[in-house]
Amino acid sequence: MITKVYASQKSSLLLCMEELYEKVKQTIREADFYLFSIHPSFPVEEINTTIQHIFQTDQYAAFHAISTFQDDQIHDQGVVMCCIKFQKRGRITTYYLEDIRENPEESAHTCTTYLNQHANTFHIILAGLAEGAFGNFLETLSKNLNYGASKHIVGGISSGPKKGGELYTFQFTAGKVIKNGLMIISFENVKAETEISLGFKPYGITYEIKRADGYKLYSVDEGENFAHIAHRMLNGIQNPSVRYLWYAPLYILDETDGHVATIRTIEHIGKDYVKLFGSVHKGEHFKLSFATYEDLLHEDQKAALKLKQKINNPEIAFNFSCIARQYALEEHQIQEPTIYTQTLNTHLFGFFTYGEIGPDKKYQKLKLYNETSLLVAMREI
Amino acid sequence: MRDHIKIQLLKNILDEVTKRYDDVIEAQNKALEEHFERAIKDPLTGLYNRYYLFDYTSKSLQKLNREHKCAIVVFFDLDNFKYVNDHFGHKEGDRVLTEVAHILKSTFRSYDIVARLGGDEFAVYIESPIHQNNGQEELEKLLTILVQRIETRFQTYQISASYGTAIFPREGENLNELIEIADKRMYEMKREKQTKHSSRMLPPYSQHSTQA
Repeated sequence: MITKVYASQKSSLLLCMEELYEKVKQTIREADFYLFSIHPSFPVEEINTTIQHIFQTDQYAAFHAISTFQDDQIHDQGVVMCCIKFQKRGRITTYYLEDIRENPEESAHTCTTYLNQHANTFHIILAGLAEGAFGNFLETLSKNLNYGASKHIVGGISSGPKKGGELYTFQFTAGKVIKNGLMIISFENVKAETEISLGFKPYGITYEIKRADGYKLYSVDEGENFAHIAHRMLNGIQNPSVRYLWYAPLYILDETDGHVATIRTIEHIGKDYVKLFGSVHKGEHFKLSFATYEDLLHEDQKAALKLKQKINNPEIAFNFSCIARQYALEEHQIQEPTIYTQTLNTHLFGFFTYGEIGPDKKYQKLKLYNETSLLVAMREI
Repeated sequence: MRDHIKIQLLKNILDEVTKRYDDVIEAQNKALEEHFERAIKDPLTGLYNRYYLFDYTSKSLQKLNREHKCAIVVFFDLDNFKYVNDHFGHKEGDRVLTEVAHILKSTFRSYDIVARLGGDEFAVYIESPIHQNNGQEELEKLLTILVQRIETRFQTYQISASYGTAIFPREGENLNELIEIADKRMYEMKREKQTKHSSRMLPPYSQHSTQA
């Protein structure tokens, strides 16, 4: 397959799309599928119609992202597009669930049926947090997947700003605006491999979760309010921000089945709870963790080299890198996509996520990771 | 960039660890103390047990031997205690033992080892008590007062106490030897008391015929 990743920084969605269309026209003329990462500052209601109007196709998927990787660059505005033109038997189809909040379990069963029926297809899930329902959804989905199916499934929670307490991060396909659901991009006749990079190491006290509900962690050990501990972590820091705690995320010790450890990043500190970017459970043990940017980049390099050994001459690489990880990388953010593109020698398309979806160590289930960088290398067969 | 924030975060993590470490050590020490207390004390009376008495004296006697100092072991046994157990039950017997233990403890110095050997048997280990000849006399006086206190307290049950003493190193080199001697002396005292008691109980004509 031929792939291109283009970016446009124009001030309106229409101008961005026109510029991107021109770039395609001048290079590969026409693509079989278009994947757009769109900054949430553009009007939601214009996205589907603009794409359909400019590109004259329904073969697209779009999603919100605060920052997007275009090869070795990071864009925090405009639109980044990955276009794919198959040369052999490759094909992309899309699947979506508009709203999973009402009944995450039933939605998960519907979705599992789709994934099990397409077990030899490689799937990328792009989802919203669905007001916390995505965690339950993914756990149920994972339980019902056929053996080995999770090897072919990756994804990320698309990122966006909070508006009026609501996370503003949507997906778009076939004229639909998906607010609290998910979209699956299914690749047929491709070979794809996945690696996950972490780099955080656990330090200090082992806490035991005494009370948790979904993404909310209430108390640990002898019933101590974890919000108090989180506040103590910010002691002595001027103008403390919850984002500072992204340097020291929760490292779950019980979940040893992941490709890497399960990390949970703090989204918000409430009065008697701490809200995380992923679910935790009563009885689980965790420590706080820490990594320098060198630790993170070292793991990125290792992941890219492993992936290079698994797949020869990839034609495209996808990267789902946690927004908190990017925060911890600080001014070294750009080095992550640089390592990936240089090591894999291919185009890179990806974005800053609010959670990364990937397989466990034995490919038996799917996990929602935090603070990782999930890298996929793909070629058409 | 933001290095000061990361350093402060790590300091705060370290603070939590330090606080938890201190708490864990304190709890461990407390638990150790409790375990030690349970291991060396008699649960009923709170006095030291036989194990601790033997453990302590084995070290103490070696030290006293090097320093050419002496020690004394007192062996106590209650008289007529079985009567309380048989007639008033074990609960009342336990109460008597607890009160006797309290009397024993309050009679000696805080650093003397007062132990319950089992049943109604007690022992007191006193380091370097005798510097002059009248030291032994003072101890006899103290023990007489002690017996009187017990007798007064348990007059209703006619409980008394017999005792025997043994002196280290003159009469024994280790606690076993010292207890054996003190035990014999205690029985002698008990016998003497029984003899006196029996003679008091004999009817006048019997006394007369005995004398004859």
